[in-house]
Amino acid sequence: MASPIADVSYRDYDGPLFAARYRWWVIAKQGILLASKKRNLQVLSFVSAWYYLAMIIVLFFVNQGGSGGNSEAGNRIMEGIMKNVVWKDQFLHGFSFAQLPLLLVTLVLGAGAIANDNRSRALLVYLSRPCTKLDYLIGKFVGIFVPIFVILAVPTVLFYGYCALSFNQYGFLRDAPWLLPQMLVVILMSAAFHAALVLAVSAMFDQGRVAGATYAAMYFITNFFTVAMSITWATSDGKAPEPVKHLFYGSIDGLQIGFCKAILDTRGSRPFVGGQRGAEANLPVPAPPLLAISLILLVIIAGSAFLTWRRIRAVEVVG
Amino acid sequence: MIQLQNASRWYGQVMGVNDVTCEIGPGVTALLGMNGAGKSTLMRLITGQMQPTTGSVMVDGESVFGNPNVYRKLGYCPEIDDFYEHWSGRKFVTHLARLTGFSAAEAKSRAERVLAEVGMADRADKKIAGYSKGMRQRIKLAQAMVHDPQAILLDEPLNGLDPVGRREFINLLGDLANQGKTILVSSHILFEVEQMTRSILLLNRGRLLASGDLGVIRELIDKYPHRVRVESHEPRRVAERLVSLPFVLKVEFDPRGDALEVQTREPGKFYDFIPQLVLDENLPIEGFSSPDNNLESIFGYLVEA
Amino acid sequence: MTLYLFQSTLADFLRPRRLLVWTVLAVVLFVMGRTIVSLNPSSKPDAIYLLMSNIILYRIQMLAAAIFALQVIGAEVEQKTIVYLLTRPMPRPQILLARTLAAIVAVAFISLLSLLAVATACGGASWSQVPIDAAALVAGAFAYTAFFTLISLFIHKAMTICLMFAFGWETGIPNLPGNMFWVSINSYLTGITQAAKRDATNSAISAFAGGRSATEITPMIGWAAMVGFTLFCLILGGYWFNNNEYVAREDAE
Repeated sequence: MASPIADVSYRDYDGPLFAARYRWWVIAKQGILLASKKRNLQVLSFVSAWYYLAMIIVLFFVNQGGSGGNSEAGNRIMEGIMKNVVWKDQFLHGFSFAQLPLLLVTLVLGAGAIANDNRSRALLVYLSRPCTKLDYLIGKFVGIFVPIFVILAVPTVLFYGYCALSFNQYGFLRDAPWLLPQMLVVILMSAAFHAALVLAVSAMFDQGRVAGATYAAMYFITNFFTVAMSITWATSDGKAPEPVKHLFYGSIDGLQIGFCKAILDTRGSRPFVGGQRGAEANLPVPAPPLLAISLILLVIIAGSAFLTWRRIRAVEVVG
Repeated sequence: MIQLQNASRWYGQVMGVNDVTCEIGPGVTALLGMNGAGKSTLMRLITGQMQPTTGSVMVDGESVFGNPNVYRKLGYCPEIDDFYEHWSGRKFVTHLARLTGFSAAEAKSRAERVLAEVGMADRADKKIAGYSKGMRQRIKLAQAMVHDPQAILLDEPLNGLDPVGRREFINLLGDLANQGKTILVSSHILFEVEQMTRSILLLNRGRLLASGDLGVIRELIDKYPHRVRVESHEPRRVAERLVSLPFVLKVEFDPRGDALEVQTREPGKFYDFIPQLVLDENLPIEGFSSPDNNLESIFGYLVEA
Repeated sequence: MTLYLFQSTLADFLRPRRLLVWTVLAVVLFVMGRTIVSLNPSSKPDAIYLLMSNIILYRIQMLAAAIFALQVIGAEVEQKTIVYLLTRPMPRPQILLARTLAAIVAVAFISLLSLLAVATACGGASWSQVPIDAAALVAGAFAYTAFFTLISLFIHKAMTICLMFAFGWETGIPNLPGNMFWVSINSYLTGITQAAKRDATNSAISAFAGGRSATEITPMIGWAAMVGFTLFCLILGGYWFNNNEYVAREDAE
């Protein structure tokens, strides 16, 4: 076999170079391709859509039970169930119940995104290329944002398609004509929020494991607060102080669920069977003001991006 | 001291070390090989980080893996460049001395001694995170020496050292070898390994190609005759005389016209004959040297074979 | 050597910068507790204490256990310093035991610090519950840390698994119908404290406190299970660590 060293033509590259604007995409693509190969990510993606899958099964059997049976009683029961279903609430529940798997997805995707680069001193390599800090930051952000967006959007769109095709006669398209664009906006914000926050945490450490644990701690400690507010609301007979309604959303998933409620203009209902019955105390916490919660999310995203920017550096000087 | 008997190690389908049998005794022995030859795997087998898939690895007749007793006699300076970065060098060496079983006072005094030996006494209180590559190498050597082991294994110890540092390191290893210790050094820097020792273990693709003294190994490589460069301002006259010798195989002229290269399978006889030619026949020979009687050439010959 | 390794590992785990983080967390818990108490004027402070001690404290303990347990061996392998530990004349099970015990003590300390913060925030009658809750937290520190250390010996990237166990399994299983609560560590800890019985009127809190398990798991069963489980994890971990290879890995987590 001829030695490859004799062929030196590869050493002189005089072909086209990509324009500067594609540098961030190289970093993003690397992140996306690496993520797509992770088995646990594939499993978690499937798990995050569990509510939609369960709803499809429930609705299928309800529909089959109604249309397959010959009795009027069966049809009336089925009609009663379907009338109770608030369609936008199903998407709210699908989004809400995806939050815990989404946390794990974010940890898998983003905990080591910058921390591992800190550890292996890869930033020296990145920033010694014609690659700016902004390219690096945007590339890392997009590399996390896109997979999260896809993981959330695909089941939502599929469930939307199934409902649109199967339950239009129950007012699916009529009751919420803007449902799909609204959900896409919610998913965009959620993906951006998680990506920005996990990048900021990752940039603070040089071990992905510690960054992941920190992000998980932030999630669960704030989540407890939401649970506590939820219990306070539930036990207050509708007389809970005003801050409870706002503090309920004072957590990582609370903010996102609050944004979803505000965009969909719903306070939610009971999962699966839907319907809102009974006193105020039995109803879910009302949606927060859209402007306020949007601003909070945007401030957190911007603040996280700023923190990440400050932490990205090629060399750490040790005294 | 260190015995390997038909030791092999697989990583799935990939052979890391293939049926290696050798003994490593007191003195400095160089472990040589290209990248991926199996040097680090061999080091890990001897230091008990891995078990051989087949065969055995013994230190002083004791199996290594999971045998803490062996580590009293063994010191290991790994290739990795990772430490407890928030610790100082002194704390790191003292900590490892304590883990060897020494009391606090004993560990401290030993750490001071080895840090002075490796030239880190005045810099050992800084955090390791701020150390240069050479300083980190010295700290690694210090922790390998702190418990005064009978055998020290060093994986690429000269990496990152400046020329002065390398010279000091080589001298230190020589001193340790003179104390009767077994030193196994894995390195790519052949000309410096040559200054340390003439005893080598050469690995290629997991197999042991050669072991023993450099000169003896060179003698045994029949495929490549010895090359001797003879310097003379009248190379053609010298060549005319040398070509008639029965043990000279080939003569080549240097393009610059001030030397010629002789190939012979009997270098001993050739070297014995040169003075006779100069004194008796007044041949104008100004000097001679052997371009391939060195580690790099031997390495190349054996690996290509 | 074992004692020295335990002491040096504990000192490393609880060095000032790390301690500061956990102290800040305890302060956050205190602030949270005061906020919840002030927003629930109709609820008794010890009901709030029950809520916090049964929900957040054990979650923090599990999180701390995951962080410290993965530093026993997992972090050493990841940062490639495992070679220094394994080339010392110290039996591997002793190395594992010393470091695991240090992690357990660290987790117990952090749990007790958090407990103190919560009890201080809620005040009043909650102080009478603190001793038994502290004992349960210590038992939890042993069980969770030993278990997560065992997981980290089997699985290279164990943090995700540990977090899923902590916040998925341990949160959901005790509250499932049937007898599933028997396979949750949290059920036994709740059994030790008999927490759900303290405020049986509040079904929401009881639900989160694992109401069913508290009636079927007595304190004696809880203690026996936790001791037995911890010993099992430590012994199996020691055997596994002694007979398997732990070589520095090139790929980071």
